[in-house]
Amino acid sequence: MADFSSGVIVDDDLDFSAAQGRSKTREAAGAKTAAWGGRGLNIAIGVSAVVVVAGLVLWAMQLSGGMVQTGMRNLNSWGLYITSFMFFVGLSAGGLIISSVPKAFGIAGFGGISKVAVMSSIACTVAAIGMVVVDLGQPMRLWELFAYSNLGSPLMWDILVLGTYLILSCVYLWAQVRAEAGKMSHTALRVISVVALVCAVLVHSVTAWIFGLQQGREMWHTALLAPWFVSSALVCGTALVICVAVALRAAGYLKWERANLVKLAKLLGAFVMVDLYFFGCDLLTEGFPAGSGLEVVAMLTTGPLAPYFWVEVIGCAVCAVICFTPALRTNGLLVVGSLLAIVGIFCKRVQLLVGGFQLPNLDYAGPLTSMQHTAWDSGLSGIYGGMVYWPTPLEFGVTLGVVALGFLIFFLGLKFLPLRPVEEASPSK
Amino acid sequence: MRYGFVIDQQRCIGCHTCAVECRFANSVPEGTWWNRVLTEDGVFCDTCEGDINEVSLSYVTVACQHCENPACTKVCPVGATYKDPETGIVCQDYDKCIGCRMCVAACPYTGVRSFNWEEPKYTVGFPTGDADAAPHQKHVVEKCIMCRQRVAKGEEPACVRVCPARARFWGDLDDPESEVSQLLKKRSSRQLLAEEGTNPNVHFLV
Amino acid sequence: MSNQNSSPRGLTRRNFLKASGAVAGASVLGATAVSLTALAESEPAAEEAEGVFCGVCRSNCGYSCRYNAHVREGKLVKLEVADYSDDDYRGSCLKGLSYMDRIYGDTRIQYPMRRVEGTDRGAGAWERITWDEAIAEIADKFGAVIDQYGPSAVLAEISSGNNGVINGFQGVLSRLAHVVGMTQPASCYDYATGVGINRVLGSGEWFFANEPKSAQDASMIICWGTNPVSTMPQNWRWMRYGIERGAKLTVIDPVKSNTAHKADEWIGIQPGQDGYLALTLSNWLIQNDKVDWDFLKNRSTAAFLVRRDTKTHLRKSAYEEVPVNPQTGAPMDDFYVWDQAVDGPVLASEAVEPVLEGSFTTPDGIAVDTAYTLLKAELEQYTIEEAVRICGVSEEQILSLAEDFASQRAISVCITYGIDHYVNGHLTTWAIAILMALSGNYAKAGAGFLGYWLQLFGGNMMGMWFPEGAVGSPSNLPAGALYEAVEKQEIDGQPYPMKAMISWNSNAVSNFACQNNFFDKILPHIDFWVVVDVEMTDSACYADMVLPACSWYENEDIRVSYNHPYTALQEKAIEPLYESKPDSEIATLLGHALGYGWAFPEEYTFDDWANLWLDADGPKAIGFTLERLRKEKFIRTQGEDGSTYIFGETVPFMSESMRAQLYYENPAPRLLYGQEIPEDVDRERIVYYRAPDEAGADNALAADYPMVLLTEHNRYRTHTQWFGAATLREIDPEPVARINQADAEERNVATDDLIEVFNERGHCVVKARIDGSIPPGIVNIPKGWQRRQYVEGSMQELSNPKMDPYACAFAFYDTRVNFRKW
Repeated sequence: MADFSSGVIVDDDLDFSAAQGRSKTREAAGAKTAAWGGRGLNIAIGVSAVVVVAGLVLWAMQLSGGMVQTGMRNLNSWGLYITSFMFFVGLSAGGLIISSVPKAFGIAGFGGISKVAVMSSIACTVAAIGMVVVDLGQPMRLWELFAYSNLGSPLMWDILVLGTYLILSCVYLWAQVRAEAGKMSHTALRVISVVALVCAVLVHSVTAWIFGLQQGREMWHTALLAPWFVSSALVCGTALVICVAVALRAAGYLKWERANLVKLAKLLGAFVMVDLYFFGCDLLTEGFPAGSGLEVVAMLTTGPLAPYFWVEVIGCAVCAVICFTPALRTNGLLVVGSLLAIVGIFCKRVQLLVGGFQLPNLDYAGPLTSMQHTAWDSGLSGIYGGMVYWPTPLEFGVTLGVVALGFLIFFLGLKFLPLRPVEEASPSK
Repeated sequence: MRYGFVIDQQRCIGCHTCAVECRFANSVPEGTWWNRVLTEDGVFCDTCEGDINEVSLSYVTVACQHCENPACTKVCPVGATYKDPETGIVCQDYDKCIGCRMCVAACPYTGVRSFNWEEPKYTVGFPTGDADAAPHQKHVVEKCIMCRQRVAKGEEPACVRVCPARARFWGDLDDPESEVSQLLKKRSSRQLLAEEGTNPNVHFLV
Repeated sequence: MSNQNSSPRGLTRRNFLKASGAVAGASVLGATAVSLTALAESEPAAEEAEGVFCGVCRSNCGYSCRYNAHVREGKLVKLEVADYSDDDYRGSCLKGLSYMDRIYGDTRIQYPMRRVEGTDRGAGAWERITWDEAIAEIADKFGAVIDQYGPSAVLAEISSGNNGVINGFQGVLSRLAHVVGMTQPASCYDYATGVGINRVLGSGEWFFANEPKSAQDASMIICWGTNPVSTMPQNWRWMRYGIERGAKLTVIDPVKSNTAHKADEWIGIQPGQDGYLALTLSNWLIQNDKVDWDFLKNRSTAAFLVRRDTKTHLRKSAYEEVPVNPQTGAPMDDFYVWDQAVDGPVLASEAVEPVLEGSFTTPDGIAVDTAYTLLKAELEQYTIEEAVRICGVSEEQILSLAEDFASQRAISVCITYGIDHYVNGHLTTWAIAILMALSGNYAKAGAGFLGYWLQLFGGNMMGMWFPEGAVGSPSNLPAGALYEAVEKQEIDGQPYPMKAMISWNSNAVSNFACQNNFFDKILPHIDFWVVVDVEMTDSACYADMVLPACSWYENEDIRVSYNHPYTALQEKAIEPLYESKPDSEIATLLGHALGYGWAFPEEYTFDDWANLWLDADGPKAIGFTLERLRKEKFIRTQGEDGSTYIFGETVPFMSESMRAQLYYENPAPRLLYGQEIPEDVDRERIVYYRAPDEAGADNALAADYPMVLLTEHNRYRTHTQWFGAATLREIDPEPVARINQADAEERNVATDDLIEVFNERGHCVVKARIDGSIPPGIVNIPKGWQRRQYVEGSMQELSNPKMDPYACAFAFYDTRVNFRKW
């Protein structure tokens, strides 16, 4: 579990590094003295690229040797990839929403981080799409999605919305740059930002519907799932923006008013509270009738998924305390709080995904084979006694590769796109 | 036309003959079972827990339920799994399947849908069964297709004829005169996970 | 019907489709059907290439289901259940269907192989050799043994692995044994049941049963120590029909078997104590005047007089010369009864009013009792109170069962070999047969025994086995006595060298009781052991040489069925795989090499052997020719469609008096080989109870070995066959010991823990499985796993090798063990 969270979240998402381990990460991120476009960023780009290539090699292995090399099987047919997909869709929200809400509603923004925030959204969206692609058994048939689209399928909705979202994010970023250059009217920018905002909300709702519309899984089948996905997205998205902003500020990439940070922190605290409130509502609704939903509550609070449940609840609670207590709103603690929120939301994703498979509808005894579960030879009790799914090293590797792709895009954005606030843009080359 | 199965749980002896027949007739790859014989309330096949004077054993054979309101077909992004309007069979197009496993997640009937996690292997070393059954593919989802290749020729699905307990019946549930409809009229029956609203075309006589 | 449902040899799939085109055309499947049919049409190459051949399963499971074997590109790709003329006899099971795994699986013996010089038996080091080398070496080694000790020093160890009449255990390889004069140990599997019932019905060991479809006419079905739901699903089908027509099902079994779970009542008896229950029920029927007087009077020997002096029946020969039956050579010696009409002894055939109960003195002073009188007196000791104690069954259940025997219209007792597998097995089945007689449950629709129904039809076995000049087996030593005989190299106190052995259709290492005896007492004295088999069995693993035999679908054969009334054809569907050969060819090669070529004409094909087998009255009487069989694929060889064979009705009882015998006049062991026979022969004349050898609760071994080992047969294997079938291993992957929760907890064992099951004879290490169907005191390890499939040892190491001197049968379940966490 420690590996799970540290390997994926702490190192890679927030320290702007790839898979090469913590020290290199620190080195890369810590190269703040380097000039922009200089050695530090180049190394980060290089490292990311190497990890992406490594991920591609692993993915090729997965495709040629078969997905039998993953921890997924018929009884737990989705795993780390789809968990990460949910997570990155959520992460991608924050940047865009933070950036677009002020513009859409014509209110004061959060300072000069708008473009960077959108860039992080783009990177996360690419990572999310990447997660879906590596999860596919037949990625060469992706074209069929457009040839034989079943528009009734939530996955199809998601693919459409996610594609639109990615394009819109790019357009929105381009529009901001154009607007800053005075080549686009603010009305136009506002329109684009409204569309982007709607799309961001849609993306999360639709991703939620991939799960929430499936009547067959007790854990997923709830109307609350879509708004809850939006709230979770806001939590981790805002937290990500805080982390990115603090890091870039520390790295000297941008200068930023502390007031903006406080604003964001308050916002994060509010989002966390909403998210926890939704969780409470859901648990109560599941558990109160004392029917089959009680199994879900038990699974989360005391069962195999309890560690993820409690990390989420406690992490989010601590984050809220930090955000709402002025004395605690130091840069360091805010980053800690944001990280806790991000980790918490990732734990939420794990609960959601694994929880969907943890409680079989038909738990009758029958022949068990290596195609049904990796622990097939330990019987039903062996399969469902602990967590029904755990990824293999290959899955971690491929996931890391996709994450690195997100970083690569973000770093390339930093290097080649004019993302710094215009008024502060001073060439440091 | 709405083809379906009626399975007599009173008669079923849990012998796995239908499952093994399905395996070979459809060349189902090693490790994959389209049709499984499950022991209700058991932890292993033919094994129950509790006081010997209280325990009982009963079997339920579970394959695709060919639901009237299937959860799987709705979620497939490319229509690789779909309900054949002529027969009511929930079909599976291996050539189309992109391997996203949405249908596996959607199907409430645990274990009915299988993904080929590797290049299909066969216990005898080569594909078996009906010459006109679609060849199996790596990284696609498959499941019971009601022996569509046989039904198309006016034959019964393979699992029906082999049943030594004569517990399996198959026919048109829309035809009130069919054997299956008559059985459902005479005997009390149930559907698996009826509460899911999928309205399976597989009925169990109890 | 038969023509319609079985394709002529070589008929292609495409033609087959055309032939059944009416069916396809009549289907109203709309567009989908059209497109799929079009798809079928669009691949003519594959369609043309498919050949369909008929086959018949013949593993000695108690049935013989027909399958059509579909062949593409020389490979068997599909076994499809095929019909019999009576559709209710169409059968198939998971084993028959997965026979393909055995043909193509990795257990297959591919080439003749010799144990690598200098390696131990069973070590698994094999050297591939040619057939020529193999035959030459066997001829050399067997020849040397024959030269020095005579042909009887070569053991021909044969069992029932393949029921083909040419290439199976009754076939040409047996001819080799008889021609050479090898010592052929007599089978000891499953004999006690028949030995016991024979004492009442005179049915020999195998001919007591009714046709299984008679079950549907029963008002009550009792599965006594048998579990047809798992082991004989084709017979169970009829029982289920009977139940649907209102029959009550009672299961008497120590474990709550799969059949018990389907029953109206389960009587969880203590292992090996069934005889006591049957005798108690019999006594109750007599004491409560609930016996079937009509049956006793007309169809049993109840009224026959038994002399107190000789303990034999008072017969006509006591007073006059009797003629001899010209056909059998036996004297036609009628029995006396006491005729009320004259108040004196009258021949049974002439008596007007025979007295069933009473003791008399004949005018010439011979003191006699009726058989019924003696039986009644013997039975008086079997009380319900004692039965409750010994059998572990409640008084309520015993009384309920007694009432059933008193009142049910027709009771069918399904009896196979569960209660047979104790040293007292024949006494148990004898007691049940007596109970059936007292309650009149024979010779009427729905009444009698179910189990192994064997046809009376047969071919020319004598011609197959004993060509002129054949010697035959010089001894009828039972297989169960082989350990001691080989170890001492003597039979009946006389020196009897046994130096070489050839086995076929048999896996003795895995099937004989007390496996370690095989390793310790037989193998050290056998210099050279050849095993002919299809698969690498336990026996093959320990042999010095293995020869690859053809699988069932690789040569032609004929199968006379059990439990249904047909004889069916096996066509050659595929070429023999690897270097395997048909048994008949192996026998011919060996016969020539050993110098008995005259009995194995080289030009003999399957047709010649088949025609030799068909050269008998039975086949001739019904016009059974090879040509006809090849055309029709199967021929009804017992009764007609619509008829139901009932023993005692369709054919008379086979005892000398053609009546059910309440008194067993001339006790004789099944086999005589110098065994110790108890002095008190009279004890064997009237049915009685004897405690099992080890299994009884009062047994002295119970202190150290509190558990009884049952090695049930389950769905997944027939004896040891299908042990390695890959498809079945996915359902039933490994040996497990099924135990009761209380026994497990006492030993701190949980499900999936490895446990060692042990006694003084051996041990095995398996996974434990706590099972609510197993009562306390029983360890149940399903039979058929090979040594290499256990963690250590083997279930068969534990089994009791003791045999009753009369029944001469293995008593696998009469075995005490204990277990502990491994």
